[in-house]
Formats: sequence, structure tokens, C-alpha cells
Amino acid sequence: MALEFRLPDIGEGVAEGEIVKWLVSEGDSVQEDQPIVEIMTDKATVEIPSPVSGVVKERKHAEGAVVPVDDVLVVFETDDAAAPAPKASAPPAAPKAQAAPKAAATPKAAAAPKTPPAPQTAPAAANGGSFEFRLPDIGEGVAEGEVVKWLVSAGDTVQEDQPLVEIMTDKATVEIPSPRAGKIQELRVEAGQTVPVGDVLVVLSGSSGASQPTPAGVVAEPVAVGATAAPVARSTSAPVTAPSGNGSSVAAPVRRAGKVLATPATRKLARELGIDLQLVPGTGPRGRVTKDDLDRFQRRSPSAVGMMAPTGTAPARPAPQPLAAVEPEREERVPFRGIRRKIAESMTRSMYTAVHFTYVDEVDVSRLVDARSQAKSIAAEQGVNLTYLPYIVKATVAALKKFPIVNTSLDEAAGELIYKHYYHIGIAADTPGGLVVPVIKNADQKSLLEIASEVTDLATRARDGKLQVDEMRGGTFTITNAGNIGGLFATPVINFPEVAIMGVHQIKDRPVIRDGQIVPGKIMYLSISLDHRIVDGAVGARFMNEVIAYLEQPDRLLLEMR
Amino acid sequence: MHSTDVAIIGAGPGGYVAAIRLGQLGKKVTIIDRGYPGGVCLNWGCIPSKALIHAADVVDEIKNASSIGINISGEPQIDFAKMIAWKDDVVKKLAGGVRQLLEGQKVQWLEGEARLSGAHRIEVRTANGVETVEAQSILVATGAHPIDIPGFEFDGENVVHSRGALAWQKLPKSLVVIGGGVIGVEMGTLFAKLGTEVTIVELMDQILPGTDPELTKVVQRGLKKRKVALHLESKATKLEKRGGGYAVTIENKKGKTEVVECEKVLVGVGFRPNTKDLGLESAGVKLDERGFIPVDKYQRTNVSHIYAIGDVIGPPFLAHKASKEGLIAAGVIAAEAGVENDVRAMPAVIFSDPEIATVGLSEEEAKKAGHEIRIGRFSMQASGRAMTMQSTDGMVKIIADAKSDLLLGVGIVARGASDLISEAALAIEMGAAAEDLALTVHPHPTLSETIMEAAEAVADRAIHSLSSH
Repeated sequence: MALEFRLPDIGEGVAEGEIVKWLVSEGDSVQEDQPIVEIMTDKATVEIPSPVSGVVKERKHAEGAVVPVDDVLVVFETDDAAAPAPKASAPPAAPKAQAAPKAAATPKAAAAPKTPPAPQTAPAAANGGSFEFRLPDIGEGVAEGEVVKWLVSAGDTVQEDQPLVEIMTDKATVEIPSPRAGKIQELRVEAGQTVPVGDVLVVLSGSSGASQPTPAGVVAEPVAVGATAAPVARSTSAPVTAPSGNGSSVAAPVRRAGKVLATPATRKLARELGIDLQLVPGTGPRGRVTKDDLDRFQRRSPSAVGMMAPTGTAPARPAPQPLAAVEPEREERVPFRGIRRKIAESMTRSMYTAVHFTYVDEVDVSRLVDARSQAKSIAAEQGVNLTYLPYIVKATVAALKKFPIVNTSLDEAAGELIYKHYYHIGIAADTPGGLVVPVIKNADQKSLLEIASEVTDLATRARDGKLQVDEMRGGTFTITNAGNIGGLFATPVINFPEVAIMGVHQIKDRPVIRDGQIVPGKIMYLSISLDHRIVDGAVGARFMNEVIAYLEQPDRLLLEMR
Repeated sequence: MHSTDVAIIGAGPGGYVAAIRLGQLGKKVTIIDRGYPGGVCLNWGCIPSKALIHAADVVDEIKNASSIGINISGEPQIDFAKMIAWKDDVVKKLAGGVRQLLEGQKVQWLEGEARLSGAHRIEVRTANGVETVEAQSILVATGAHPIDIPGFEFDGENVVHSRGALAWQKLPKSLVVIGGGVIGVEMGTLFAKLGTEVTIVELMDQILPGTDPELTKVVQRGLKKRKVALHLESKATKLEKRGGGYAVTIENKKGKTEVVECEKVLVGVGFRPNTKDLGLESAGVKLDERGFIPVDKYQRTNVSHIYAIGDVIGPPFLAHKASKEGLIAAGVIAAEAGVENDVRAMPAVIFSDPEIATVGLSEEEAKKAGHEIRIGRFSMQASGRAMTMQSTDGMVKIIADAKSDLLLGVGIVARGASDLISEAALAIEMGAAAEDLALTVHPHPTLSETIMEAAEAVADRAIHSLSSH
């Protein structure tokens, strides 16, 4: 029979994901839990495992497509006999276990102790129709939880999966759904009380025909209550990847529940790197997460690194030492979130990884100024505002072609340098929300005017916060227009994992000596920060000479045009 | 008045370890204590009791020597005062060592009674008057104190806790121990071995409540063999002076009473945190309903620059737990990366005879937590090494998850259990399966082989056991 598998809910606020890579082809046989596709969201890149064993009949989207949650991803042909009934008949929205992307990536990991057979299979269940429901294991290291609020009272009739109680742990506040339908006989704990995992929360009286334990583990659904439980140092972090809690058992957490198998040293490393271990697929015996797995995860999902989403520790470098208020009444605390936090994380990663050195030179752009002022009116006739930036982009691309080492990224874990035979130039843009870097893709194949109009369009939309995630990805080199406000020159921070960033500064009238005479010249400073691990100083200097040559003799650019 | 980066209140196994680590991390540290480096553990707990337990074991071995062909004429003569002096010497040496280590890290030692008088301020009553310490961070490591029961108030001499008993200069002829917990069993056994007539009164239906009864029953048997009178499901209701000693009335659960005469009484029924009169309220530190200080996984109290570790944050009351928490707090205070309390395996050791050591979940806890389990057992009677040591009482019990085979807990009751358990702690902390223990070569002939065999027994494959397939 055919089974449509839809993109599961992969985390709070994630409405869609981009297909980065298919890991299976049509016609492939897949095992349950085998990763079938890599999906990138603005939160993380995750592998989605197959919900069943069967044959891939149809991939519904191509790589690069952006797929909304609940859209059909793939159609499987499954063997009827083999297809377990509950799964095949489950609502396509997101069949439970298989919705957890990374979590279940290795079948063994899935078998680890996180499926708590505890409460449901408790012998008490069969006892005279009344059922003691115990606090299930709700996540790594969580031994107890505080009852924040009861959502039901004694005497209430509840449905299976109806939220019963809000439990706050040091990780998150979660709603615990009822494991079965029935009537609430007794609430065993009061709001405000702390309950150890395994303790009885509530006694349910048996309802008609519901004497069997529910098959699936109770899924603790982190509710987006924000970081209420977290003390100040962690207030930067709401449980980001928490799945939506609509009280239905359909939503499954992205993260694997329970304890992740890893040695103490690996656990510490994960905290240092700001990686949530529960998102990392383990390749070791029984799904153990090894140090290699951490490396791999960091390489493949750089965007998920440092987010440490659900437990919410910020990237660990500046450890969780709280900053005491000096004058609390004259200070204000605002959550450090969104773009700002993202910028902080990427900058930190860049500074801690790339070995920065900065090189500065001046450019006499007198001829470029002339050339541009002539072309400007022609461009204006076509409705394009021609600035200097397109010239600089073209000059940069021409120089990158001569110095391909500057257009690379280092895959440290694999021990490989990636040479990119394409030229996607990021343009750092100052927006009210903070720095964003839209990318001009394939800048080598575009004319000055095309680049000019694209820059205008991207910059406008960047300021309005209307850029697509896709438009800010894939850059190979970044140019930052640091000089339009003032200053002599800046030392820009590399847009990691690129290896270089060029700072463009104000054009000013400065004295130059030409043929022994001091004459006024149009001078611009150009700075470049390079990753010294990859590009040596001499190479960087030669690269800059090349860029400068094009800018000082703009006619040369024509020779590069195609 | 002096200011410091970190002030630590209490120089027990939590506080002094934190102080040393903070010193290593470049912090300026002041440690405030009443004058006993090493705290209860070193001065009146772990160390002195183990010294005397060792002495008692020597006596025991001498008494049994004839069974292996060593004849000694007469009974061993015990010079109890000398034994106590030797024990005091051990304590003194170790305490001196702690002081040296603290000095080595330039930790300032301030002797006196500490009391917070603000979020960052501590008033210390010293021999030379009150001194004020201003600290950026404060670490509370004040521990806990034993509680007595109405009618059995401590007098430091005849009705005592372990501290008093360890200072006796004369071996009592008879002793009633109220409370069959760790302290009661350890002290009761030690005095029984030295020749004291010992009676233990315990409210629950087993000694060492909270520990797997399968393990404790071995110890219980040992106590009976030693002629220790065990009154389970009983309570001591009355204490009267009689002759030169006391008469203790013991009431069992049926209400039947019995009067036991004794020279001394030891009460070991529990601990209360040392949080009173500390001025914690002046800093806004919250306590739980029993007076313990709740902390998060960074050992922080509700006041973010005030940390707490060890007994004062609640049970289990273990020195090594306090030390570990001290290291965590120190790392957090010094802003080290990746530090948090994520301990998965906290071993516990009881120096009974034979010793009991456990780590991870007990059988009951594992079931309660919803695990389907498999248990591997291996008896010390099948261990060659145990036989050569005349110590065949006991067993190793391994609890593994039935599906994943992951180790959930290990319990050992055997001679040397206290040293055997660390392997199990490491295994659980590393996320090992029972099979990993079974596949690891264990040297022969050692007691540690029993762990490997018990791990094999999880899969019904123990070699030296007839009950396996």
C-alpha cells in the first residue's frame, strides 16, 4: 500500500523547511528510521528519518524546494503485512515516533531507555479499572518537576491526550497529556509541589473499554511558556525547538527524550560548543553520541550549533556566569534574542575559529569616479541607481578568479578545503534589526546594471525585514560597506565559514602625488580580513593588489566582462 | 573588613575542595570555618570511623586466625585509649594536609562563626571580635547536624552521636544504638567487633532502610552472627538512668515492650541542615520546608551569586557528592565553559560487614522509573579470591535495561565493595551496557571478577555459576 509521509512539525515556530538534500532516490528500499532527507529550517538542519520500512515511490519535491509543514514529502510503497497498523493508519500529519527527525536517526537510539514504558504499562493499570498515572520521564537529566497548574479537577472526564497538568522542570514547562480517556478520581499532588519522575500524579478511573494501556509512550510536549524556569543567565533561551503543544499526541518532540548516551567528556564538550546533545544523531553502539558525532553535527548543521535550543544554555564560551545588576533600578533587562543573538553567535564562532588578519591599502579611484558618473545617467534612464558597489563586486570577482584560495571554505572535520567554482558575493547591510548579509548569487554572470538593481532590491527588502532565508545563504565572499558613515578604515569580522571579507570605505578627496606633483585625488581605503589558516599574508596582499588594479583602471573590468 | 572574590562558609569536603579549585582558577578565596578543616567527614565521620573500623577488623581477624592455622594464646588485649589516640593522629595528619593544600592556593583561612548580613556581606565572629567579609560570590557549604529524639537528648558523653562515640576513652561494655541506618550499623558493628554488647533498634522492617533488602539481609545476617541484638519495627520509647548506666525501653510494633540495660546510647536517626542562624534571609536565599537550600544544576541558589553544595542542599549525605558539587560550583563561579551538574552515577558506600556499595538505580527504583529490567547476580561464594580471603558472604547485583542492556544500577554487598563500586560508577557514567562489563577482561584472582560474572549473568551466561544456561 502507498503511504504519504508529510513534513512533520519540527519545532516551535517552524512553518516550513528547505530540502537541502535527498538521501534516498526513488525506487530505493529504506528501513524504518533511516534518514531520507535533510531539511533546513531557520533553526537547524535536521535529518528526517523514514517512518516505515518500504520503497520510496515518489519524492514530491526537488532539492532546494521550500516545503510547508504538513505537505507531502514522499510517498512510500509499503508491504501491507509489514506495515504496522497504527503507523500506517495514523493521521499523516506526523506519525509519532517517526516525526522526531534526528532523534530516531539510528534505530538503536530509538530503542534506548527514552521510551518510557513506565506509566502506561504499570500493573496498577489493570487494577479494578483505576489507573495510577505517574510522572513520565520528561527529558535528559530531569528527575523531578514542579506542578505549575492543574488543568483538570477531580471528577472531570478527560479524553486521551487531553492536557492534564503543567509541569515545570529546569528545562522547560511541559503539559502532560492524559494517557487515556477516563474520569479523574484523585489528584495526588498539589500545585507548587515538586514531584519526582515515577511518582503518581493522578488517579484515573477506568472508562469504557479503555482497560488496555495506551500503546505509545506519553509524549511530553514542551509548551511554549518561555523560559520561566530558567534563571537570568539562561533567559536568552526559550525552549526554541519545542514542538507546538496543541494537546494532541500527534506532535512529537524533535529532540529525543530521555538521557542521551555519551561519555562525561563528550557531554561537557557539547555544552562548550553549545550543542544540544539531544539533537545529535549518535553513531556509537546503542546510539551513543561520540565526539566524532559532535564534529559531524557541527559541520552539517552549523546553524543548530550554539543554539542549544531547548535546554537553553547560550553558546557556552562565556559560561553561565550571571551578570549581577550594578544599579538594578537604573538598568533594564531585555531578552537577547532574534537577529541580535544570531549575530552574536556567528561573530563568536568566526572569531574563535578563523585566525583573522587585516590588511589595508588605499585606492586611487579617480578614474572609477569618472567612469561611474558617465554610466550613472545611462543607468538612471533604465531606472537603475548605479553606485560604486557593482564595480567593486565585479573587481572582487575578477580577483577571486585569479586567487581561488580566497573563494574557499575549510571543512576542518573532513580535513578538506572546498574550492567554490561559483561566486556568490554577500553584501553586509545595516538594518534597523541589525546586520544582515544578502547574497548576490553568481555575480560573475551578471552585468554591472543587473548587480546594481539587485543590490538596490536586496538592500530595500533587508531594511524592511522581507528577505527570504535563501537570499542570505550560500555566500562565498562578503563585502561590507563600512565606510559610508565615516572613519578611515575598519577591521571587519569574517562571515564564517567564508575565508575573507572586504571592507569598502569612503571616497575622499586626498592629495596624491602624480608625476611629481601634488594633485587632488579621489582616494578610498580598502581593508580585507582573511583567515590566516588558509590565506597567507602575501597572497592576501596580492589579491588586494588585483582588486585595486581593477578599481584604479576600470577599463580592465571590461576585459573581464562576458 | 576585607573583600574577596569568593567567600566559602564551611571547610568540609565540599567547601575545601571548592576553595582549592577556585584558587587554581585564579580566584581570591576566603574560607570561613569554626576550626575543623575537613568538616564532619574528616573530624567526626568518614575518616575516624574508618580508622576504628579497621582496628576492629584487625581484632576480628586475630580472633579468627586459628581457623587458618595461626594460634594465638589468649584474647587480644585492646588498649582503647591508644586506639583512639592513633585515630586522632590520622585525623590530625589529614587535617594538616587540608590546611597545607589551602595555603598552597593562597586561600585565606578565617576561623569563626559566619553570618550573612547582606547579599555580599558576611559577619564572622572570631576570637578577636567580629570581622566583615565582602564577597562577589558566596558558597554555602555548612553541612548538616545529627538530630536527637525527645527523651534521648545528646549529652556528648553517654548519649551521643558518632562524634561523641569516636571520642570515648573507654570501650563501653554495652551499647544501645537507636537507628539502624548507616551510622548506627557502622558504629554498632565496630563496637560489637571490639567486644561491646550491642543492641540496634530500627523503626523499619530492615536495617539500612532505603537500601536494597537483598543486599542488607546479608549484613543483617552478619550482625546476628555477631550476636548483635536487632529490634526491627521497634522504637526506643524511654531512657532512664539505672546503676552506672541506662535502661532503654524498646517497644515493638505489637506494643510489646522490653527493657535493655546499657552503659552508653548512640542515637543515629537523621540529619538537619545547618541553615539556622546563618543570616541567609538577609541575602534573600530561600530554603525548602525542611530547611535545606534548593539549588539549580549550576549549584546556584535563588540568589544568583550565592551557591550551595553538600549536605546543606539535602540528601543523600555523602562527602564525595559535596566535593563534586564543590568542583561544579567553583567552575561556574570562575566561568569555566561547559560546567554543570550532570552527574548520572552517584555511588554510595556503607562500611558495614560486609560492606555495601551501590550506584545508579536499585531494582525497585528501576522498576518504579518504568524500566523493564534484567538482573544479573553473582555470589561471592563462587569467587576464588573471596574464598582465599575467608570473605564469601555477599553478592554483586547488576540491574540492566531489558531492551537496551544499558546499565541502570549496580549493588554490591561484599568485603571490599567500597573499592569495587567505582568500576560500576564509571560504567554508568560512560553509558555502558552490561555486556560492556562482561566483555572487559578482569584480572584473576580478584574480587572484581564478580562484577564481570554478574554482568554475564544478566544474559544468563555466568561461567562460575550453576544457575546459568
